[in-house]
Order: sequence, then C-alpha cells, then structure tokens
Amino acid sequence: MLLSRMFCGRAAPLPAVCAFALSLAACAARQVTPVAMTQPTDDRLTCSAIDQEMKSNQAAAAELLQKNNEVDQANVAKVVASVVLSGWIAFTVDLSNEEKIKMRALADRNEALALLKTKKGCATR
Amino acid sequence: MNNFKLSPAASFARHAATGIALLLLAACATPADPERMVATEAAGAGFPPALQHAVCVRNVTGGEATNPLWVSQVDNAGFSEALTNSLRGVGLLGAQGTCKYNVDVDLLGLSQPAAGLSMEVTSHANYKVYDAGGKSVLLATVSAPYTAEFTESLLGVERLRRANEGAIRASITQFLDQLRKIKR
Repeated sequence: MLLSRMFCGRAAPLPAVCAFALSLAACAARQVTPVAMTQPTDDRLTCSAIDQEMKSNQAAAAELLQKNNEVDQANVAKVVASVVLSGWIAFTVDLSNEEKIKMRALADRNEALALLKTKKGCATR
Repeated sequence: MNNFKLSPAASFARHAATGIALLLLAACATPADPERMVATEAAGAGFPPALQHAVCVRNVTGGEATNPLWVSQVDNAGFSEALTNSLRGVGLLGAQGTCKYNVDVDLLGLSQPAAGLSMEVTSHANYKVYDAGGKSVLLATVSAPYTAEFTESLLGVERLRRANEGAIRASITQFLDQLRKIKR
C-alpha cells in the first residue's frame, strides 16, 4: 500500500513498480475473526442450546483441522516451488493461520460453555 | 608474499558471494524478544484493589518456537515473561504461592503477511482469569493488530518480528484494560 501510494500516484508511474506494489499488497494476511469465548447472549442459553452449540463447534473444529492440514501442505509445496521455479511463488504462502486460530477459539469456546453448563446446573452427559 | 591474484571478475564474484552469505545470515528469523512485548502503563492505574499484587501467570499455551529458516514466532516462555513483567509493572503481580487470581492464556495464533513494506500482524489470544476457588473471573478474547512500518527495519524478517512483538504488546495492553473493568 505504501509503495503504491509512493510510486503509483506519480505522473509517470513505472508499471513494474506498480505491479510489484500490487503484488505486495496481495501478501497481506487474511482478516481472521475467531469466535469469542463468551457471548452477550450466553446467560439466555438453555442447557440443550449449550449442548447443541458445543456439538456444532466440535464438528466445525474437525473441519478446520482438515483445512489447516491442507494449507500447511500447500505452503510446503509453494516454498519448494519458489526454490525450484520462482521466488515470487513464496509471496503466495498463507501465514494467516486462519484455520488454526478459529479451531483453537472453538475449543476455548466449548471450555467456556462447559463452565456455563456447570454454572446453570445443567446435567452432564 | 603471495603473487596469487584473482581476476577482477573472480574478485567481484567472491565479494558478491560473501555479501549474499552475510545477507542470508542476517535474514535468519529470530524469536520475539519478551522485553519488547511488555505493556508499559502506570502502576495501579484504575485496577480494582482486590487485584493488586494478587495475579499470577499460570499457563501459556499455543505459542510456537521460531524456525530460523522460516518466520519469527512468539513462544510460550516469551509470552509468559512479557505478561508477567507487564503485570509487575502495573503492580498486579502476586508472589508465587500466594496468588488469589491465576491467568491462563491460549495464544490462538498470529496472522502474519507473507511479505510487505509495512507489515501488519494481528495477534489473537484468549485470556482466562480464575479466582483461588477455580471460578472464572474473566474470559476475554483479544485480537490486537500492530503494523511495523518500513522505517522500523529494512530487513523483512526483522520487520515481521517487530510486528509480532507489537501485536503481543497491544494484546497485553487490551487485557490490562479488561482487568480494569472487573468488579471486585
């Protein structure tokens, strides 16, 4: 972004520099929003709703684990390709850790839900 | 003493190789420095009296060791040290064994860019504060960004490390802000 502002706005921009700046802008990490451990509506959750959310969180976490492994494998392939083919490929490596962050957040959310169950006196299975 | 002389081309190649080797060495990733992750705030400012000298860091999980050939990371020990020193700085740290409140941290991860002139890293962490009875006092999810500008370091690996450190520092600052809101 900085480079594109510095060079691309000039009267005689260098196309290569602009392309470089744009490619760098594409290297920014993806925006990740993990699920919060506690939600404003938690107090209104019934015991069955808590169980249901915990179950769906577990399923989502399992899916994210699978995706995380795929991203890791793709990153390794990109690094190898960047050495063998072109260094530019390294810029496409995904370091956002989106899947890992969301997966761990779901595990912690379930931990908080378990505490909520105890607080509400829900039956434990 | 020695009549052996390199041709100009060979001499240039040797200097270039030395330069590249030095650059590669300088480009090795190093772990985040705990001192640079400490949140510096005024001692006692706005914190509930019950928390003063009563908080300990118990567990930090989710951190990663830095592979010098990959990118800089934040490990558990470094994060724990930074959080402990931050709590000490604001007068909340309790003596080991007499803690009324324990903090567990799950470092969910760092969202890092692959490259860039200014590098923005966002740290995601869950802070869990429990009282002596094991009851949760605070469960906070904190996402904190920090951008290391090109002027902070010319080397990309160094800039990324600075961004990591800044993101953790911002995260601890937000956590301290949440502690201020606890009603005790």
